[in-house]
Amino acid sequence: MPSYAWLIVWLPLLGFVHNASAGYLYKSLATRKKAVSYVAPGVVLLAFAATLYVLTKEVLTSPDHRAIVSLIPGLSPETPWMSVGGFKASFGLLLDPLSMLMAMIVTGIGGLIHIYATGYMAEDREQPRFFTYFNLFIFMMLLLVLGSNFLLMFVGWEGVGSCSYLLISFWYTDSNNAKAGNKAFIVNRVGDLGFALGMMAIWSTFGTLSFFADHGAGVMQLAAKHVDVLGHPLAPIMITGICVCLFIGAMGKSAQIPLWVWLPDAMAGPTPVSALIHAATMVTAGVVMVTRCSWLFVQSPQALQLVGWIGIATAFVGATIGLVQNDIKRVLAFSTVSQLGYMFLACGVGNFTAGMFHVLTHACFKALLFLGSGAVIHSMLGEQDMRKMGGLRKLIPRTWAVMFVGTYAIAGFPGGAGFFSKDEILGAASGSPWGNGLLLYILGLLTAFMTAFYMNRLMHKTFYTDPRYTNGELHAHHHSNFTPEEEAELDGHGAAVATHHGHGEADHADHGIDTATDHGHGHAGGSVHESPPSMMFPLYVLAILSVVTGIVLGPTHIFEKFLEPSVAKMSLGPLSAGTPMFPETIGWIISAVVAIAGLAFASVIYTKVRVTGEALSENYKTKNAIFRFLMEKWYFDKVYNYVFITLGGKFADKVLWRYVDVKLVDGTFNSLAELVGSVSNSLRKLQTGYVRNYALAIMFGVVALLVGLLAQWNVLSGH
Amino acid sequence: MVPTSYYLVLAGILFTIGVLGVLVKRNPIVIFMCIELMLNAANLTFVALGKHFGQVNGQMYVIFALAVAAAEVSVGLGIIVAIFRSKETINIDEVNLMKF
Repeated sequence: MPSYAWLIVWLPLLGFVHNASAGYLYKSLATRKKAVSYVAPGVVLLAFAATLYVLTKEVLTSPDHRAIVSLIPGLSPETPWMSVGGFKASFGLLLDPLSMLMAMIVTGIGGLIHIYATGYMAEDREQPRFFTYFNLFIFMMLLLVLGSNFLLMFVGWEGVGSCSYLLISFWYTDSNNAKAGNKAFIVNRVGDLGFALGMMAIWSTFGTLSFFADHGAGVMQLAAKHVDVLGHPLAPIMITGICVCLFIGAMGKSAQIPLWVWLPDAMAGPTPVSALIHAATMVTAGVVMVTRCSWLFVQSPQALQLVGWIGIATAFVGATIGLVQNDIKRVLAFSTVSQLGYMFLACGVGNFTAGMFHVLTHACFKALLFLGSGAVIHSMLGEQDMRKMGGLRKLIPRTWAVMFVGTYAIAGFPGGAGFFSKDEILGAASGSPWGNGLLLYILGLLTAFMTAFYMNRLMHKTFYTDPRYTNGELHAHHHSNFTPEEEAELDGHGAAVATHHGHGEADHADHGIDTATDHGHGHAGGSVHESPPSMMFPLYVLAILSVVTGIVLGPTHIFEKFLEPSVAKMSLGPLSAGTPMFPETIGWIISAVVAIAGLAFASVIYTKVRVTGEALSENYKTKNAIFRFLMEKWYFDKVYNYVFITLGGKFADKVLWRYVDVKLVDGTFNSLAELVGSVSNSLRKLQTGYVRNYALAIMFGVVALLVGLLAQWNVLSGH
Repeated sequence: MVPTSYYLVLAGILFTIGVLGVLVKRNPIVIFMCIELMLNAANLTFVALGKHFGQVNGQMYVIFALAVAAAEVSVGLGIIVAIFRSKETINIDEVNLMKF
């Protein structure tokens, strides 16, 4: 039976090609944007439909829930993509519950975010460029999760990194955005080096890069049997090295300590980018990769410990920093860092399923929160600072309602999606197979408490406290690569301006292509308003998902059974799976109490300071060491700046440039050139310009030749 | 019947005179004549040895050499005329621009 899995991957690429060539296909900007706004979400949703079809007709019906098909329809999955010496790699797609789950998240939630973005980006004249990157991202992400070997995964891995860079610095005329993009790209390079090294180590150990292959020759199948490519038992040091290298790659992509610093800055991109790439999909790639390699990780207790400790440390540190942020998107960014830490904690204690469950629920509620915050920002005409918000509950009740659902889902309020997934992780952590269960559990609970606190703090600052602005006099924050004057000039005429001008302030949303004159007076009189339906619809769907996924998949253990074929059991390795310290119900009660306590604590504090919305005085903020420590993000950026930028710059200047480059490299080549020069300088004296000198030299040469020949002839003939 | 060695010795003497002429003379016309002398010494050897071994190859090569020599002389004389036109002299020692 032919597989339709290739459709999942090729559809977004088709959308990418269409959007990229939109400039050639459509003459007027309006048609171009309209076509793109239908095609871009359309292809992703079609890919979602294809995913559902493949899942039900191809994956669930196959005996071991696993199928490998080719990326190119009609070819065998073993057709080599590249074959260099003994090295072979194919371009197959691995269809199993894990890859299908991720494909569903990427295309399903990605599709919703695409719909949202058609509303959010409607006013940007570079909307086609935005959706070009967006569709390319979906393509690369699908390649990452569906690839049947490490190399194809790496292609997707790098591809999503590039798209992330392109989209963070989408509004590149602000150099801060460009710098944030660079930071994300460069920090990710460090992680990618780890991934590449891990890949090389895997190839030298297992002789293949395929996850699964026929006759049990795949990496995971060999690892399950504890043998390398020659059938020798695996060396523990090698497997630990491989796992650590791969985990370094995961650290970069999934923003774990010490490579997490890029994620908060990545919020410089448009909000749909933050939701899609830096919350729901790309940053979970590390978790997916670790889960995909669970067969390797269970073999190495040391690597599991590293993953677990890094995970809980990141969860804790991210949550503490989230407590003090003022930018609504930065709160959510640190929350993402923290939640990713939870996922790695789950992987570290060997419960990969719980980690993936949190990936799923987190994708739902974090996309919801980010898109909700985007709606808030949109309503506030681009304001992101929570200190200048407040009182929005009455003005945008529908946005409030979905944000409320998202907050309760992430905080772990009983019934929300985060409650079940987080509780599973905490339970697994308490029964950690390598000990320290109690410590991990307490740190996890503390993080959960802080999560509930800072999320409710966000809700209070934004929605419940008194407004700290005058409605009707909002100042518009114009996000575009073009100034109003440039846009007017590009439009070529002022004719379009008049059409929308009459709508007045109620329709501020037109600060776009055809109301260039509006920018002239900076939206004076802009007032808070609800977002358009294209933005609200995805929010409703995500709000429903944020509740339903937890209850339906969590306590019923459907998710565990679904993912079982893709995840290694702890019993394959030297450690045995731990059992949680207490039964599930008691864990639920503890989690619920902690979550409610966190939510209530924030409510108590911020109800008291209803007018200002500030729990701490400015004086206290500048004096308190702990507050400053958190505000400075535990000094991570400061230290990195000093070590890598300042000291690294000095090292490059004083040692690498002045010594290694100028003295060593240049010196070697210059002195070599001088040597050749002086030798030829003395040799050129031979060239006298007198023909007879040359003739004499030729004669001597001929005589010498003849004498030599004669002598040889004499020797040969025995005289 | 003159022995072949006589021809070879004569050819050797002619060749040596040619070489010496090329090395010591300053007049390019004389140098040319000496070159012709060397060529003809070689031709003589060809013919003598061709006769000695009873083969026709020797005579064949001589015809070749004569043809090439004729072409070479015309080119060489052309060069000499060109040198004279630009330098007003044909003294070979004055024509030594190709040096360090």
